[in-house]
Amino acid sequence: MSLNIKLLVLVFGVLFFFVLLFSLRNKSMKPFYSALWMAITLFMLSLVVFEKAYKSIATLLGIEDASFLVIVSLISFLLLYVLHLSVKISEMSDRIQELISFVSILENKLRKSSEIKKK
Amino acid sequence: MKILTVISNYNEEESIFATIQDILKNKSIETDILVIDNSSTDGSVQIVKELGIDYLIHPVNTGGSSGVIKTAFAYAYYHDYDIYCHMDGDNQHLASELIKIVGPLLKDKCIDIVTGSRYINKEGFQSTFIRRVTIFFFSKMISLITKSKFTDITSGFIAYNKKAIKFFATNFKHEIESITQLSLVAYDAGLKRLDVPVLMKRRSGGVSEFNIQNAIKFPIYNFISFIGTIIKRV
Repeated sequence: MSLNIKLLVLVFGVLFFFVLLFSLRNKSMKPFYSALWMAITLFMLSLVVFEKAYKSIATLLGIEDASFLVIVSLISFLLLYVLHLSVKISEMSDRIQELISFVSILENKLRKSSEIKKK
Repeated sequence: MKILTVISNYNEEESIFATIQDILKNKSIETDILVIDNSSTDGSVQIVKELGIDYLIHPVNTGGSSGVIKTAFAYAYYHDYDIYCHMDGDNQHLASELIKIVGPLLKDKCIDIVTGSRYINKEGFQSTFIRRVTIFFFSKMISLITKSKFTDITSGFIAYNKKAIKFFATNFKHEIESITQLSLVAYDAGLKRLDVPVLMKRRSGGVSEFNIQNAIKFPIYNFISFIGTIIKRV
């Protein structure tokens, strides 16, 4: 890995780490997602620190260029993460639908009881 | 026997009056009427209020008829109805034919869902060519998978008995985005269904939900549902 790329990864990793700390402070993310992104940040930073270890793993797997291993790992992770978010969105949309139904039925009941009171 | 007729409404200002009047004039069955409005932006809700008909208003649009059906099941279940009939607010269904979809439920306790199909006798308004082809194709596919005869999988003229109401009110999930998917889930749940011939009129006003966007979405979504159903059985 050239020095320029190392610097770039380091800068992004540190920046990411601070953004994450900021969101933890504001409690804008659930602990599960914070832990997930923390792991990613550490992974990014480890690329610079443990470069040789990644090269050894790549050689073991028969991959000539260690950067391919990193790229493939990151893309796979992101795809899995997007899949997880799709499942969560579907669950959320179900819950929103239930709330919509509940609110409209409740509003109907309240309206009817207030009409009865008026009479 | 408590019967509920639900009219789904989304911007049906031009036809909701005629739809309600048609049901009010119909004496073939005794039914409560409920309009479920999917957050309309026109004056249709005001018309419903002036007619003195009971109504529910979704605080936000749920993006399709499935949201209205989900609310209808919840309402029918909560109010302990024996039969729930669904009609669209576009005045394409005839209230005089409500008895055709309710009748089999009253006579045969083994039947849980009755669908009014315009493609059995092939009378009345038959919809556009593209829609007919799509409906035919998916009706055949769903019939093949379920080994049960489906003739009009997008029909919005359906009656459900108490067992079906309970099932859908407590099991309705995101996998059901259309009537077709609902039919598949119903079949998987062991609910018995029947198609009966009905007449359908041409839309007198307003804009149909069936546009180019839905024409593309409908086959894709249904195809995915079919795959899901097949995988479940393997």
